[in-house]
Amino acid sequence: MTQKAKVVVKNKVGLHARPAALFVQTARKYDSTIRVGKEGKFVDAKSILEVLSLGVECADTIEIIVDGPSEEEALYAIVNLINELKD
Amino acid sequence: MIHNSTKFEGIPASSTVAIGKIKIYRHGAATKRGDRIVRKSNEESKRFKNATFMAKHQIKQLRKKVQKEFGEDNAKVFDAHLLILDDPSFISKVEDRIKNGEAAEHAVRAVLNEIVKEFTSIKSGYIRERVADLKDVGTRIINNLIGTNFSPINLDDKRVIVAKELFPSDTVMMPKDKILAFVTEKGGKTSHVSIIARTLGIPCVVGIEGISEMARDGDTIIVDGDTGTVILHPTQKEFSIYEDKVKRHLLHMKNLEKANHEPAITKDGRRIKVVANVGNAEEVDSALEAGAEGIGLLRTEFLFLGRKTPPTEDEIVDVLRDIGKRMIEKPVVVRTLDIGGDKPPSYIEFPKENNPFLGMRGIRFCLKSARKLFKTQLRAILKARKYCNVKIMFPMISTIKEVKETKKILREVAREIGVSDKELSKIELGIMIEIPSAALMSDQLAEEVDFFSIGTNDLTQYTLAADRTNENISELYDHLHPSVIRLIEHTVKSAHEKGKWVGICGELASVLDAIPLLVSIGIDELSVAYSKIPEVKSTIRKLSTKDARKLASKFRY
Repeated sequence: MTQKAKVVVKNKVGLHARPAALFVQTARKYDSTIRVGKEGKFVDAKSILEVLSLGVECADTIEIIVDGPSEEEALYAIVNLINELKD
Repeated sequence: MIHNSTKFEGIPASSTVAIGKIKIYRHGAATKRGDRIVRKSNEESKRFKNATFMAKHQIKQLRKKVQKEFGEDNAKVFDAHLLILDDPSFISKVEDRIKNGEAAEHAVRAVLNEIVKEFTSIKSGYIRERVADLKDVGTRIINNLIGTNFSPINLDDKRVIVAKELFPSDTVMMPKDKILAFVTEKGGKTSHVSIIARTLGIPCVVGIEGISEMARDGDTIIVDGDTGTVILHPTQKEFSIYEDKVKRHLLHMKNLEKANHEPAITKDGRRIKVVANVGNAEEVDSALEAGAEGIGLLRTEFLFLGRKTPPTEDEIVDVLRDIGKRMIEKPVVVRTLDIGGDKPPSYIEFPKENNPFLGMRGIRFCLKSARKLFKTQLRAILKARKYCNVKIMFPMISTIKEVKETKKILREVAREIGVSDKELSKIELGIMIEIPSAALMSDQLAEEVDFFSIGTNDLTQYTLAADRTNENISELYDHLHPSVIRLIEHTVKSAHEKGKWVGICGELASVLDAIPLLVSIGIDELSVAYSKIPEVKSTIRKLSTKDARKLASKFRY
């Protein structure tokens, strides 16, 4: 089964290099396939280049889709990370 | 031949002014040459893999060097480089091209250019500027493939570095004590070179096209990082004007430095203690450098989170001992574990709660569900008293019963490790005032503890029933709302009547406009993020209690 969630990115500079790096590092911890999307465009959450290319900024809503082993845990970890991002 | 003075206007990326001789920095062959030898595709693939493997190793070494010389924040940029090297999309694109018969260098360069093109079309200026990170990694891989290096820079004397573009790998290799300023053609305020310049406190101007071709090694240049003006071959007059500017700035910095370490005393002689909020042991040095007179809030969650098992008593003692080595006699207010169901440590079972912020967290959690862990922390703090001037503070107190129960446990723990009642009484005990009930009952609470620390962020949220991160009602969150100010006032009055002191550790303490109000209310201590310490101290010094009262009256409460 797939797990999905939508989350608003709140930190000032959005999902730029350092938070994006944290994001990708977290995604890579899990074996599941993880996709992240903005306005319908989805990319591989484990690819820093693809995540950066989404150009996620402050107040953007992103959708995360996880499919595979420990998908609930993976989803929780990623959503939590986004919500914990500090400026 | 006498050169004419030429003035350029670029983007000011790091302030202050520098005058000096130029050293031009150029990138090596990797950006220009191509490899003509054709090999079998599995051999090319192997070359690529080796080059990236080497790159990873090199970057890890660099990261260590940068962390030591420029701090952890600047070292983190290399983590992004490592992620790029492992990026599944980057690797598969290069491998695809190699399978199609391209040489590794060509494939890497082509994929890079593709991605760079994609990035430069993104709205976010910050992300566009990260193109430099990509180019850096690409250059490194290609250098490894060709067998060349990033050009090392040899500096006998201090120079202004002028370059077309500077990547993280370039600045890292430079002797930081020999650099006067950076001037580049490419880049912006958030480019790595700008960030490094700000970390080093040296001027940086970017966006001056063509300058690396126009200037020569040894040319005199003036770099004004405040305005973005750069003058090549300045006239004697221009030189004198700027030389003056540099002298005034150095004197100003020297005076500021001195002032940071002096106590903050109002014009009419009242001293307000200015201390730091610190979230981990690494911040302590920065806090001391900024002039902190103590640590007003040591958040201890870093000892408990991000690990699979709870910390041992010895681990906690070691951290506090280490902090004590640096703080010496300066007080350290240790706030005991303050966590809840929203961010539980992995080794503790947290019940599912509908409302974690009104639930099992802070002292409640320690008393009801984690008594053993709480006692371990208390034991460690007591043992650390020999190495550090500790004060103990309990978070999220809502009733006097909690305080009495906590003190009982503390006495038990003290007895267990042979700390006499007399010795225990020497350690100051305090509580966070962040729940309205505690503020309202502060007159009774003041009899039980030695000090209060007002957590204005949570106090505001609970008082106005407003979640500051909820955009729908965020305007209700106002830490200067009369209701909050009245609670602060009542707390201070209650404490002073019983001869106890009050500090503020919430964000309100660093709001410069509110300092007159806080001073006139009678706050004894302001605990702030260390970067705010100099400003807070200077604001206090400009006040007299009379001025404070006048300025405070504009806040109707």
